Amino acid sequence: MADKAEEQVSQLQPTQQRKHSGINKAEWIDGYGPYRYCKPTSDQIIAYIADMKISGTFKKSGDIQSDDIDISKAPLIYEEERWRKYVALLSKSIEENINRNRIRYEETLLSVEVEEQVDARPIETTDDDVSQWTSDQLASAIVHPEAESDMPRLREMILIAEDTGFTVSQSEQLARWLLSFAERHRDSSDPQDEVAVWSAIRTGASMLTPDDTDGLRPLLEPGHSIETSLVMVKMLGRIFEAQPPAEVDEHQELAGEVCQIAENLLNRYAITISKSAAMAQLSIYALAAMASSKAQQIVETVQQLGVTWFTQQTLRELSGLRSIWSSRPVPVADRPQKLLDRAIQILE
Amino acid sequence: MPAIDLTQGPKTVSCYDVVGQRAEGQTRFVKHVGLLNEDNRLVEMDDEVSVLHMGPPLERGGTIKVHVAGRVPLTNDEIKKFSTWVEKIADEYKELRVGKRAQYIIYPPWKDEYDSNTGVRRYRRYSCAGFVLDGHRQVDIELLEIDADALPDVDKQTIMSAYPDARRYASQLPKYGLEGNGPWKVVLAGYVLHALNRPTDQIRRKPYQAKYGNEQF
Repeated sequence: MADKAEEQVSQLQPTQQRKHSGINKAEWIDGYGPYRYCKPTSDQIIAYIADMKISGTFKKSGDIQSDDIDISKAPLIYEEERWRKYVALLSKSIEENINRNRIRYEETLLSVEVEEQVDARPIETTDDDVSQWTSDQLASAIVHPEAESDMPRLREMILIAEDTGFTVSQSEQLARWLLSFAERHRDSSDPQDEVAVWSAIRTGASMLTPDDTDGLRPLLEPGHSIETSLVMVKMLGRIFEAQPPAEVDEHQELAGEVCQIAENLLNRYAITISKSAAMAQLSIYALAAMASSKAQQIVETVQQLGVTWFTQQTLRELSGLRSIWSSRPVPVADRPQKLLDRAIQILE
Repeated sequence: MPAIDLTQGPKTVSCYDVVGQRAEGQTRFVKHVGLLNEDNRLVEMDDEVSVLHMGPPLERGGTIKVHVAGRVPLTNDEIKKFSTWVEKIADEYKELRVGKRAQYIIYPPWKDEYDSNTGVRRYRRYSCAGFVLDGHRQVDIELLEIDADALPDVDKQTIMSAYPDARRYASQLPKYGLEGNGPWKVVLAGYVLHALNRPTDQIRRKPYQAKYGNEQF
């Protein structure tokens, strides 16, 4: 089928350069990373690949569920190669996905048609390739007031921000924005927002100092369509593991919330569900890392539960925290260290 | 033996067993490994199975065609620990379409990424083999000796065979940890199968030391 598509495409004559094929940016409702796609009609997909700045229309016999299409792994080609070859490769990728049942209906691609033929010359890509931006460009674009008008682009920027080093001042601005984004979008029904919300929490929280952590409490709330409490509790543990407190109980309100999560999950029924067990262990880790005196009563509860595997795994995690702290160039303050040692001792 | 080439016949595999895929046209070169994301089933050569794996991206429920498989028989408690770890990293899984290459690393087999100002961990990058090895470490099973001194050299040609995308992204190899022209001490997918191709008590007692040629299984 790919050969047939390639043959059909090869018969098309390149004519003119175009960028979005007349489709408004806001209509690129789906996609991630380097590509966008939309479905203007039930038998069409229009794909746009940022690396190439070209687009095409793919017609097939049956309805395609856009959520099931994966073209992120469509072979990229070098800029000097022909647009039509690219279209053929892309159609092949779609066909492969049909074979892998990623497209719901296994009806084969009937034809590949260039809606408006394009010149083989690629358009300059520098401005649009987010991965090539400086940290300053990226930070400015993310916090731009109109950033949310192009959600695929914004999601892409959020993911790239996770792999970008920012200055302290950029981080101050971004952390607030990213965590606010997570809070505003955690009730989204768009499945693509989930990855962006979790990434925003990881990046935003990683930029915080312990003094800023009280503002994270809303993201511990359960009951939203995108579950944020697990990643939030995990990041709390990581914030304090890297920046241990100087004294115990410096963050009592936050510790109270985390302790409540642990208490609710620490029973033999809940921890048979691996997600609950994970959440309970991450909560215990966070309490120990933030040097909450509640950590001791919680590990005593773990011990009393008498569930060997759970006790062992919790012990392993807390021992890992002790290793991280002991490898720090500056020793951890005495009382937080003793609190952690005591928690480990209870579990041993 | 706990690891098997499925051309020898079907094998029953269980959740978190290691499943591997060979490179096309290279009969025994293992190009990819992941953890089975299904309960007990009989698999044959080329069957599609659901996996937890570093594709990239890190994916739960993706599929691969299985050609080789191996396992350490896990106790019930170890399976619970494994499952808990899988949930702890649930926020880091992506769907295939996200295609986040930054999540991927070739050398070392895994590496934590930190915020450059605060030193707070963000997430862990993995190679496909690294993800499988780290999963087993969560239940205190060190499958493979991964110190650089203990690993064979891997040259650029082998990297290109192991990672078909590497040809296309050759200029970006440093992003995946491969600086210079090599050779490098890369943990290849085939090593994991050799590590599992030992008696269970030996697997649990001592990590396997990979040898030249172990990229094939």
